[in-house]
Amino acid sequence: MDNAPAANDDLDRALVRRFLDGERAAGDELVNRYHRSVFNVALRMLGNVQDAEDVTQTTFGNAFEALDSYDPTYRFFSWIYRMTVNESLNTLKRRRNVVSLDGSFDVPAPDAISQSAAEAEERVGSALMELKPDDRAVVVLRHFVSFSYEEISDALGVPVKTVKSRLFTARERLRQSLLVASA
Amino acid sequence: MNMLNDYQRELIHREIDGANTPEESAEVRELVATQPEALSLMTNLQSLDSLFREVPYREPSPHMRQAIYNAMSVRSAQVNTQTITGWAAQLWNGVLNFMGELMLTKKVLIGATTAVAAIAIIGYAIVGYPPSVYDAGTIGSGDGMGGVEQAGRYHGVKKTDADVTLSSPEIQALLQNDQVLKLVKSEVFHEVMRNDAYRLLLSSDAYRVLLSNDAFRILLQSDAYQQLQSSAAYQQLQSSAAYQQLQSSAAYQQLQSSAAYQQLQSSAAFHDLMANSSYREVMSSAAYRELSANQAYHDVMVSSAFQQLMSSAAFRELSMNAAFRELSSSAAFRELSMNAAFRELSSSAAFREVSMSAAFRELSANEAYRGVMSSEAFRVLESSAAFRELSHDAAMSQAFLAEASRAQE
Repeated sequence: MDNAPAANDDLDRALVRRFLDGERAAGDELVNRYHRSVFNVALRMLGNVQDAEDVTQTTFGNAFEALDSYDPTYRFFSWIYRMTVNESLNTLKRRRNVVSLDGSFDVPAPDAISQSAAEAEERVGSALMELKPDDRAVVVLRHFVSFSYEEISDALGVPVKTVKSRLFTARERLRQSLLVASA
Repeated sequence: MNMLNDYQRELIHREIDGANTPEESAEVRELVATQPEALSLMTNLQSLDSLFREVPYREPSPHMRQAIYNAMSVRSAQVNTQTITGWAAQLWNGVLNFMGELMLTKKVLIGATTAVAAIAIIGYAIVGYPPSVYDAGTIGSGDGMGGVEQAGRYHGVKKTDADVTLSSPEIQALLQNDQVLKLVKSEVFHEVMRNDAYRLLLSSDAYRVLLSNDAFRILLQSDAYQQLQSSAAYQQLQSSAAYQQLQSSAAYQQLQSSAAYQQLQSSAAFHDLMANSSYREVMSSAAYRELSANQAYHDVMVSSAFQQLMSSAAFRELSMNAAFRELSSSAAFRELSMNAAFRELSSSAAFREVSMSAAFRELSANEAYRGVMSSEAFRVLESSAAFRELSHDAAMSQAFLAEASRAQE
């Protein structure tokens, strides 16, 4: 699963600049480019469609509010995904304050997808929710948005070494829960 | 059998991620060919990667995308950050929705009155006059729908500390902040709170469109709301002359007898709503949309009987009632500001329409408004963590605005 938009820093920067200059269509284009992948990142982080939609809306809302302070020397997509992950983590924290567990996966399969795809989603989704949120974020950005280690490092604001450590640890857990345990 | 060391394990992970150099990839191939543990790890990681690729890419709802577009439009059109007046507008929106929805229930008037009481408290905190959007002195007020008349200032029941719930340490700290107090006591802040343009905005037709949203369903289910309904003040209101007059008014009768209302009332979904279930079904039904757009419904809201009800002693008592205060400070009310529907409302086309309205533009261009926005006190306030926290919590925002009102006095 990787339908994230191809990174195009120049295009993103131009769109941001045009939007700040008052061109509404440029903002639409930014939303159009990223809202699907932002939603999918949030969905895999949270395991809940409604929460993911909330996070997506909040992320874009915050992004457009802060757009005039956006530093174009940074990559827009790293910035927006960082906001997405942070908002997702905030949602998980709030959720923990309300319920005792935050590890449930509650994403009903739409009719349009095959049974095997639905099963894969259920298995992977449940296993992801067993990971620590920080580890989950690394896995999500690597496997669902195809970020490199460096891009994940930029997006999460942690060293590349930490990215690798979290990713490898998380994969080991996923390997245990998804492959070894079911073998 | 040799055990893999950390370097070798990382090499295999990196191979899966396509991060190895050609030399490192060759090293991995050698490892896999010679060490069963390496082969096992490689195979497992490949299986894991394949499993991830099987997970379907989910399409968000078109509804969500539209909400983002609308929110963006609003933000690009209006002031660029969440402001105190922004909170106020959001609170108004939520409460107006609350009122609109309750008008559809069997507790028609009481529900509406409860909501009006909420408006009274919040609106009074904001502008210090009866906060009905249909009040005299506003566009579309009274019996007619046009014209602007001189507003008659109302001096409501003086608030006491008991009216405001300050349960959060954050809000308490905020309200003890010198900069915040300086702001709320400043003349420029008071001027905005009294500003006609702001009141015009709140009374604009565009705001009425906001009545057709479902942001307050959680309130309907709260214990506090149930308690309110069984309170003495509620009972008193029910037997008041104003309430009776409203019930017998032509506009109210017209609403009740309208085809859309009958259709809604007789629907299975409506009965489910009465049992606090299937609420969303009702909200998405054609009947509901038809009703909420019905002129008769709006006629009720602008009727003189309704105005009289709002100014009745019973209504005032209700607004001061402990049960009502409990409702307005309840978790459900706080949830209102955080739920998706509320946010959807604030990013709705209707909200956008408001932001584009002449009244809003007038407000934005108003010197007093700009004075607040550019004041040092406001900048300090806006950048504080407490402010940010507050801006996401309706109950706390309400408390803050009430405090601002007290400072005004």
